[in-house]
Amino acid sequence: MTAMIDSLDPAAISGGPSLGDQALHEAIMAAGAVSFGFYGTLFHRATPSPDAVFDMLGRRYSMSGFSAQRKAAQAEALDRAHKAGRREITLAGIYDCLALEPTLAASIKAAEVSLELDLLCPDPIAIAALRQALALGRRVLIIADSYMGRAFVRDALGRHGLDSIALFISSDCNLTARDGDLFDLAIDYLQLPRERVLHVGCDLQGDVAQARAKGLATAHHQGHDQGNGKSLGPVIPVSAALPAGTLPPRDLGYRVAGPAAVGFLNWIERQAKLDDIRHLLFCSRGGDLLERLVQESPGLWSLPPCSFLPGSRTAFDLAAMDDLNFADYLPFLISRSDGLAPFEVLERIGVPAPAPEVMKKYELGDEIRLSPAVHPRLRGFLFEYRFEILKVCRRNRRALFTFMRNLRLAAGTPVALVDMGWDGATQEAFETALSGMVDLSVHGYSFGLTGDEDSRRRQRARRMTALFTDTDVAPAILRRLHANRASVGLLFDARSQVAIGLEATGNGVRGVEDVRWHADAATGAAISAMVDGAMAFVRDYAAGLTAGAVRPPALEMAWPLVQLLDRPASFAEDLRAQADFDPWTASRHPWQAG
Amino acid sequence: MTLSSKPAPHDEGDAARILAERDGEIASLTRTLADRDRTIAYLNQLAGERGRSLQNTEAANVALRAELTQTYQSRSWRLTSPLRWLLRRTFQGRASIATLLWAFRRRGPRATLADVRRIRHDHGITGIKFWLLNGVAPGGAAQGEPGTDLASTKGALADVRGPDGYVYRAPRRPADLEARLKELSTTFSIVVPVYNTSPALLEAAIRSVEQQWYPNWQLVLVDDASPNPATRAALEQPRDPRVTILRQAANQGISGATNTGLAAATGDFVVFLDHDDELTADCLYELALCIAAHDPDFVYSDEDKITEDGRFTQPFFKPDWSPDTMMSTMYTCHVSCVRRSLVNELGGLRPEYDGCQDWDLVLRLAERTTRIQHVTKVLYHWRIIPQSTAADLNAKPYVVSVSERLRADTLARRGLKGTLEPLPQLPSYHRVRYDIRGTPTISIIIPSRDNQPVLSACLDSIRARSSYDRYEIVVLDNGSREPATLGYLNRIRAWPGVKVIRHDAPFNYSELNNLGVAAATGDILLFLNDDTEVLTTDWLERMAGYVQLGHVGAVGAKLLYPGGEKIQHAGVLNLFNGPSHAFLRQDRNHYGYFLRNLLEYNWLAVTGACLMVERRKFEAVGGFDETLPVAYNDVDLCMRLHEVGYYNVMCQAAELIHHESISRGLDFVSPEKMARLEQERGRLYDRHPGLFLHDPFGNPNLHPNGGNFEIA
Repeated sequence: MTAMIDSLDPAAISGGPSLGDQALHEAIMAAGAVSFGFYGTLFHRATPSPDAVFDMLGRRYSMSGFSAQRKAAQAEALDRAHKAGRREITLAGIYDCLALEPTLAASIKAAEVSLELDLLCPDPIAIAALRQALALGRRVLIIADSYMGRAFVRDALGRHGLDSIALFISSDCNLTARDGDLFDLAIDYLQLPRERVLHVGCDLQGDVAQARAKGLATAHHQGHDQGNGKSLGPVIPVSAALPAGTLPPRDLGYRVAGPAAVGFLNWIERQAKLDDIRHLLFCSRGGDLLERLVQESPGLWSLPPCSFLPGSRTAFDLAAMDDLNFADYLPFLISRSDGLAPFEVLERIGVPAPAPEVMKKYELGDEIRLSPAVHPRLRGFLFEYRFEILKVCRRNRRALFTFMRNLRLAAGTPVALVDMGWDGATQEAFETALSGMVDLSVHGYSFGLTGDEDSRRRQRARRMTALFTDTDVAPAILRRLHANRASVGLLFDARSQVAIGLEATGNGVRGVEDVRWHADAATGAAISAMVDGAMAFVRDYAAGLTAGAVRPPALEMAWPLVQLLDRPASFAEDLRAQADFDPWTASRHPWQAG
Repeated sequence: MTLSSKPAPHDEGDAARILAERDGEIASLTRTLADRDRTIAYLNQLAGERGRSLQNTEAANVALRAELTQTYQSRSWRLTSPLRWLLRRTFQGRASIATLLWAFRRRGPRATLADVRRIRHDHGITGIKFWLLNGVAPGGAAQGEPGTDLASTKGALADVRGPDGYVYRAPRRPADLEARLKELSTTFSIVVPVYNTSPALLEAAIRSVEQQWYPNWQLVLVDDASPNPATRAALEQPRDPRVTILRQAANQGISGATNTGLAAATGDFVVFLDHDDELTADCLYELALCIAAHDPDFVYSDEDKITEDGRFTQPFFKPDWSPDTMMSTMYTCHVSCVRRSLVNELGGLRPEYDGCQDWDLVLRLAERTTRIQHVTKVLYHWRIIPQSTAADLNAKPYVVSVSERLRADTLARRGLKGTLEPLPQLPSYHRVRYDIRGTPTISIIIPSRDNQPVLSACLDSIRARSSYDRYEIVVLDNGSREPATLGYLNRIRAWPGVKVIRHDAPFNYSELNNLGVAAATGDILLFLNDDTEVLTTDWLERMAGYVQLGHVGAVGAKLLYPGGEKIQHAGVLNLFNGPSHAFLRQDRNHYGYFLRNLLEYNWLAVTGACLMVERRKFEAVGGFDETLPVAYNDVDLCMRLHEVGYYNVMCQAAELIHHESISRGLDFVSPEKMARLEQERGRLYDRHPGLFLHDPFGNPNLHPNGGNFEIA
């Protein structure tokens, strides 16, 4: 994307200076204060049209007629404002005119704000001019007509490190630039001779003309959307529908896994900056692909140092256990064990189980199929067997310590744990395991967060955030994503094995995989093809950026994954089986095989 | 038995032939009768021995019972009964208070309360009593978590639980066993010398090999001319083709028979199995994994014992390779797996050490290789039978003398001078007392501040009791202010062999000692707290004898609480909660786990309250870390010595009194001190990540926080 400073058209506005980069620089030098427009001047929307935002919101909330509703509401809000003698509308006023349940309306409104923020592309030339004015000690302000309001503009500026700028936004001031009144208010604020104030705007007939009419010096900045011939399209047509029928694994990687991973990484990049994260930890399951994309695409994302931590919730829970808290973890150890043979409760956490004849003596022989009636006996056995289990726990804890220690992070360093969990359980386990061992400020970055009770409890107690939350998408979509979390996880899984533990190996750490299960050759090949497809997408995405396209909002980038949920047949059969497979509840006992 | 009937002779030639055949048959039957007579005589002898043994035991029992009854009925016993009760209660009260104080100090009041609640929850009131008296939560068989029916499962295990509560749980074949076996190629020859073995026990031993998960083995059974026909008959049974039976023409003893087996062995590694013991089913598999991972020359494992009624008991969870422990006791014992080429290089076992032939082999092989690995799993069941050393070393008195001779010969072979000393508490066990080489100066470095009475007692004890007089004393005065102390320091400054270095700066134990080393002239350094008093006269030369060994790093001494009966330090264990003193407040003569409190074992760390190290080794690892000013600086030093390959030793025979923390106060008294302790512990493991939750001289099968080597 490029933009350019163009001269004012002397034919349209008599007496206007002819400005190039140097001229603008000189104009700023001569001015006592500089005001900038917002949309079209400092920032552009990375969409083909403003209405595209409404289409995106409609998709996120599964409301096909939302775009029309939204436009009608805006018209009605304008009408109501005129009747009420107001000069400008507000976003809240628009949403008041939408015939929606108030909670939903509030949620979509927040999503619109968030989306608009995501869609903003800074104009490098205008931003550079603004920074120059600040550096020269000029007073800088923004004068803009927008119903988005001052808070929105402040957030947008904040994302680009531009704070403490005086804002004159029409919806807050109830005055507009298009009528010229907003400039009068700004002059009253500045207390400078009008000719000492330079306004840089994009709309020759609008704010530029009005500013000149009010006696301000003006400069016309012609951005890309003013007919400069440069493309501002997103890298991919994100709204393109997925083809019907089964997708070959490579296509699945290219069309879904790749975009979803890129969207997630784009979101992580922005969030890590906001949280001042100094290290990113991608953990199993799901972190494999993300970490690989980052490592194999240097420079594509501006991220803090990253590592792949081959642990999982199971590994972290085990690392947190000791002889004093063991009983507290019994519910975790026997969770969803019904249907398994007793020994499998140990095998699934990587603990060597006693021989069948020994288990029989505990009345927990291989012929026993676990059910709630057996739980007391199983708990009793696990408690007696706890020191064998705790050996594995200590192995995990040692390895986790070694891994974190090798990162050489100072106490209190903010780090982000990236995982594909949906309720913060992995983050909670990770933080609990670190407690008393390594002092870090842990943030949790998830692909999605559900609104269930456990998730909310953890969100209150910990620093957790996600790409997909119920503030950005309809709860129904979030629920669908959660219900299909295994498929989502598979798309991010560059490996076919599940890490259930950690083991220190010399100076390094390796993941201990669940040796009970191995993906067959066909599934392994399918996963490999899917990863190849994702990698190919990332290469094309990088090439698109180089060619001047812009990044779409993270959620939009990842949206093909949501589309996929409506097309379960898109998964090839072996991948579907792999996605549906849950090693925590799967039994290798003959009764299951039968 | 009957003579075979034959047809009537037809002529003289036939008659002669028939007579000759009959003579032959008669001779054969006579030999059979003689064999049988010998067997009967042998069995009679056995029966007689057993009978006499039973009679002796019974007589001893009767005598003891009578003596006991007499004692119980005596007036003095009855009169002193209240006193005994009082003593018992006093001891329990003191132990409980000491436990509470220790817990408060190390864990803080809140964590201690939480611990007590947890112990109450896990083990009931009896658990709390156990904790108060022993200082650790009960391990092993717990009474169960509420809401479980552990009681019934415990009942189900009653038939296999040993008399000490230990239960061996045979492992299940791993889910990926077949895949892993394909990656392993080591071949093993299991050599078993057989002599008069009960068929049932021999069968059990053979079966334990046949049931191995790992398939690449050869079993070599060498019958050492067993007179017992049942043994011979058992060996005649058809076997797996991997089993080789060899028969000695004459009895050659265990080494001779084993060497015969070794000559027939073809495996990469030799595994020694006694004829009445058993390998666990995973034994060879675990050995093969270890060999594939580490390429060792010698591998040993943990072991337990089988009682006469077939239950498992007395597990020995061993330390990793410990050369000095090896000179104190044959701790590697079973299972023992040696690269066959190395055994051959060493010439096999030596009959002159029969009874300790395996100990001799390990001592000799350790002089050829450092590639020694320890598998921290029970891979061997050693059967307890009367007259076996598994039951009692005293059961074979000759073994005691062989063990003594063996080590004396080892010292000579290694060019070392020393003596074997019987333990006063257990005379059948011996420790090595190495002679000090030359007359090196030992620099005793003592930091102190405003502590005149304690310091003077310390110096007085050194001067009055040390039999070795080539020492100097370097006192580091950390800015004393009290006139009495300053006067005392001025006085001792004039004493020969005493230096007083003033360093008026905030307390930093590491810095003080490093300054002391800089001022010292000795090649041997001894860091000593000022609140100690020497008890053992030859403490310096005894410790120096060890510290001069090329492989030894730090040497520690046994420290006792005032009164000299209770242990303050007998070695430092690196437990789950961090470094901790072992056997704390146990009786001075407490045996400890496999005599760890009496014999010289290698430990990961010893306390800096009395720590000896050679200057060259101290300087090679950079001295004390001055970023650890108060806690764990001694442990850090020991860990660094360990990491560069030295072995630290606890010299249990060198004893001192330690008035612990009189000088500086306890570290739990303020949150700031607790926080500092935590911080320094964090720094310790940051420097030694490989030792986080790991003590090579402990064992993961023991309780993670058990300072007394409690079985978990």
